[in-house]
Amino acid sequence: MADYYVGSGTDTSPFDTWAKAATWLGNIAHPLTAADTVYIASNHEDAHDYSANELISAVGGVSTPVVVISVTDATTNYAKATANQINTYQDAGSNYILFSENWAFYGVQMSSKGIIYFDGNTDTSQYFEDCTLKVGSGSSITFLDSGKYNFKDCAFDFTNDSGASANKAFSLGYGNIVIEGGSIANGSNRTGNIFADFTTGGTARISGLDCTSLTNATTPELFGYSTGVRSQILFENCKMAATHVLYDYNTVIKTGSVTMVNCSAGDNPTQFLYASKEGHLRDSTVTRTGGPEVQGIAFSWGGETATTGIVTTAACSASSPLVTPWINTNIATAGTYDVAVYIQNTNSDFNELQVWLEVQYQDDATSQFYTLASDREPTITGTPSSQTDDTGSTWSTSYTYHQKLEIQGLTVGTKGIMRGRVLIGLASIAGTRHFYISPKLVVTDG
Amino acid sequence: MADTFYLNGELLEDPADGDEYFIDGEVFESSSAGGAIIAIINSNLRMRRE
Repeated sequence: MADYYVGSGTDTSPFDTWAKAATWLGNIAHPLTAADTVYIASNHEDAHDYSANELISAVGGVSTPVVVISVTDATTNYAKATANQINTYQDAGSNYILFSENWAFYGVQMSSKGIIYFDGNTDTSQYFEDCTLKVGSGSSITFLDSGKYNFKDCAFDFTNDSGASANKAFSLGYGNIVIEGGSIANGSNRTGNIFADFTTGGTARISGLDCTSLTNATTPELFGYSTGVRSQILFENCKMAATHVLYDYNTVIKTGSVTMVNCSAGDNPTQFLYASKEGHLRDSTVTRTGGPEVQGIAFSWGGETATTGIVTTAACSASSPLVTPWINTNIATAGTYDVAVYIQNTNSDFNELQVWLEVQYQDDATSQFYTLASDREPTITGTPSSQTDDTGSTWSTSYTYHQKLEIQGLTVGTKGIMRGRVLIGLASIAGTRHFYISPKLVVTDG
Repeated sequence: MADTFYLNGELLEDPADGDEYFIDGEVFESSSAGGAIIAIINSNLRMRRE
């Protein structure tokens, strides 16, 4: 555990004073070990001409990464960078920047001639806070291997683009990735899918990212990937430009899923999208009277547009259903309850192997065990009945077949959360069938 | 009518009784103060609720 310095020093080993400070981080990176700290001057421009794609790697335990902190020159006082402290952009060659092993960066600014790679492994962690990452022209922020990657309040800057580029901006193929806060800067240089390559089964959560610089909304702007999504991806509370496209409905999803919540230009709290290989649904303004509201705005789950319904693919079946997100509600007192969710469509009634409700509830006052109940036809080879007709609902736009998915007589043993979800096991439902779900658990005394 | 909001893609109806709950590992605390604001603890969400 030692302290090192990067700035305008004499570039003299062991770089343990400001006078001997290294002039580029890579010069000291290889000797670094767990829990070492590197102080890098906030105004230090890295002028090293990288002769090759020199790795920036460190050896550190997962709990004790090498820590790199941008500071006021010749002090150890935190100061966000005002210069490119890691810089291959000024190189003669097209050198990328690559981080391997365990790191934590605070306030550091980097500029790459090419890709910026994050190349961890199974047990590594890399953390970036208040950093600026300028990727090379037409290049991407790329995750090469498994590992844990966290970015808090970082700017992903595409200022190095030489012109408009349709290349992906983020290639999140591996790892468990969290981006919280921060922004995409100069995103108008990108004209294609911003996030892509979720190919290997990791997770990504992008939360509170300011995407308002993505102003080229002529193509799928935030997410689209045609080769096969295998990761679990969540975008939430991201601020978008006034004109934007969130999702390419031609995206091919394999074993993963895409969820988007409250990503819009303004206050649009009902905004929602969920997609898996079995189909997709999103928020709709075709609503049921008495259905859920967010901030007084009624909504339901429908399809791609305000006038189309939920869509399923040919891969959807009773054995591989499209499963909606959970709908949570509160049970204030123990008792026996009936629980229902209301739906409608324009073609015909759904039966109990085509669309059904599942409810998870606490049936025991002394245990934390939750019981899962269902109104699916209990035998997979049985003859399913039609779901219950609903004659009492009013929808803002009404289609012919109104039904109620209901489970009766649930004995709830203690107050707490009850949650339910709808499972859709019918292939190739088209948006023109106008299948809508009012995503509210209607709980009545049983 | 009780208000509803999304967290991590799940819909939660505001219980509005001051209880706390874990949902998918996150802690929820409901407000008992009429405005039906949900405080989300240990989260960096930029909630747009006023």
